[in-house]
Amino acid sequence: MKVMIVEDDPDVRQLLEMVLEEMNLKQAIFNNAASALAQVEKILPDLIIMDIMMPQIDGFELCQRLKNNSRTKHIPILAITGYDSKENRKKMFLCGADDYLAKPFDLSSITGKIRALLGLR
Amino acid sequence: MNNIRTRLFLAFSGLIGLVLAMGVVLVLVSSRSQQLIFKGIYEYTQLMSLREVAFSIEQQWRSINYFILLRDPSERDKFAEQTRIIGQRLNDILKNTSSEGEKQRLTEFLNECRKYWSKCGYFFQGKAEVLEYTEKVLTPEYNQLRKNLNDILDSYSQNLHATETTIKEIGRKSFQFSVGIGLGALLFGGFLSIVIFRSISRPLYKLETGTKIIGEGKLDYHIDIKSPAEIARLAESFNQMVKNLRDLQLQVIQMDRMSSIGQLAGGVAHEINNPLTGVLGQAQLLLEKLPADSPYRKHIERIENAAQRARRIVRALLDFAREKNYVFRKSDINKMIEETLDFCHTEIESRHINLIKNFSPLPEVNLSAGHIQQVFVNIINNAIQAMPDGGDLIITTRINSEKQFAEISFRDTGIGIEANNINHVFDPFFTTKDIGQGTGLGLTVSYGIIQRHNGEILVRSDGPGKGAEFIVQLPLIGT
Repeated sequence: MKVMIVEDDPDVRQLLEMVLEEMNLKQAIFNNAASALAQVEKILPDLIIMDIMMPQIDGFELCQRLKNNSRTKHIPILAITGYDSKENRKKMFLCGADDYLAKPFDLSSITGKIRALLGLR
Repeated sequence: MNNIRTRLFLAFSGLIGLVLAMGVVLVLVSSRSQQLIFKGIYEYTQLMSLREVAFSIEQQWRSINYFILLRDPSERDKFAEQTRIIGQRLNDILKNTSSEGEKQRLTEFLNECRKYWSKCGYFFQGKAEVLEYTEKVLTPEYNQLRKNLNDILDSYSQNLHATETTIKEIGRKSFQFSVGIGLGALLFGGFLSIVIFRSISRPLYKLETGTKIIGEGKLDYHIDIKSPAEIARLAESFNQMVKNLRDLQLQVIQMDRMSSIGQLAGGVAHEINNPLTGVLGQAQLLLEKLPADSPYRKHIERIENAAQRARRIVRALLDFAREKNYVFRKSDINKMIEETLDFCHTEIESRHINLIKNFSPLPEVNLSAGHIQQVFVNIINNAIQAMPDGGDLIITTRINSEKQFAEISFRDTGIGIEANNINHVFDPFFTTKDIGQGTGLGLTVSYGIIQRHNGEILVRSDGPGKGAEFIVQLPLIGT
């Protein structure tokens, strides 16, 4: 199974890489939304983990575009953010995200959500 | 005398009184002068009549002399004519005389005249030796008559002169009196004007200076005016207005400060969350990989704990920065305090804190329960932390009927607050707690929440070791 990561922060990106590695999941890593959008149809991952606050194209727009694309709309999306608020959470779900997690998160929380979204035990 | 109206009233009354007194005196003086003038006229008329009598008597004496020299019988007729005139004049004078003494004197004179005339009649009839009779009888009689008449004339003249002198004296005195009173009124009026002008203009000047100083931004300036009452009241209202303005300014500064700090905190929190995710996640990953007996475990656990603490601080910052949705509903404050106490129950018991509740029945208050509960938690937690060796926590609820507030007081017997710190307890990041014990945002957040409810949060403390009291006031209407 392949997981796409869209995250502009290197620390978080690195951690996610390691977590996915620990879970034996393949990764496609992008540090901005534009390059992720360019590649997503080619990669067609089983899960997309994306940051919300990103320069140029933010997580809300990226999520909307993916969900509006018939080839990618079925891919579950896990949104993560450093600026947690009810409004952001609500807006993200309205854009089509499947789950949401506030930074900084515990390892158990992120792995639990990844497993759930990928349908793993 | 303390107000402008009374001062003006008294001043004008004084002036009007003075003018009235002057008027009354002048009326009395002029009426007396009029009486004296009438008296003078009367005396003058009488004197003129008496002079006519004197003239007629002289004419008669001339007729006697002509009769002796010329034996002209027409002199007898002239004498008779003068007798008639004298009689008539004297009767007129008698008629106009009111004084009894005068009447008697004039009557006596008339009788003397009559006697004289009868002797003259004897003379004109030629019954006596004319020359000899004249020398021996008539001349002494005539002289006596003239002398008596002159005495009467003198006395009338003196009376007239006395009256004239009195009229002049009264005129002079009345002039002096009028000038005196006029000058007095002028001086008194001037003095009153100065006193009143100064007593009104000075406080007005003080008020004007005060408003200028306040206008320049010195909001702690106090205009102190005790009198007159109207200006004192105006100054007091102005002082009150300035105080309200100052309070409002302080509130605006505090809110502005909180808002800027909130924005800053929000930005910083977001930036810190990313590296913190790395630190926390990596530590947890490492802990998963390390064997249970690894000597490095405790170091990594410390890293994880430190990261967890940083996460709590960031969360508090974000809570502060973010304005959570306020949902106002009618709520029972006493019940909310009970719920909060349930929440802090373990801490209260473990610290051996004696909880005293003085709850009064309160009407339901329109408030955002989640937020107010957060305020109660913050205050109770502070009280618990202020009493590490136990103490009393007295929670009182009551209605402040005057201000229409529900008032909740939290009083503890803990470490108290130093006088220097009491004005800073609501400042962002102000804390006297040990590092890691508090973020310095709890009371700042509470302050913001109570402001949103149009209420007030107050703090009192008699100093270190003497406990502290936090009072929350929530309006019963208008929230």
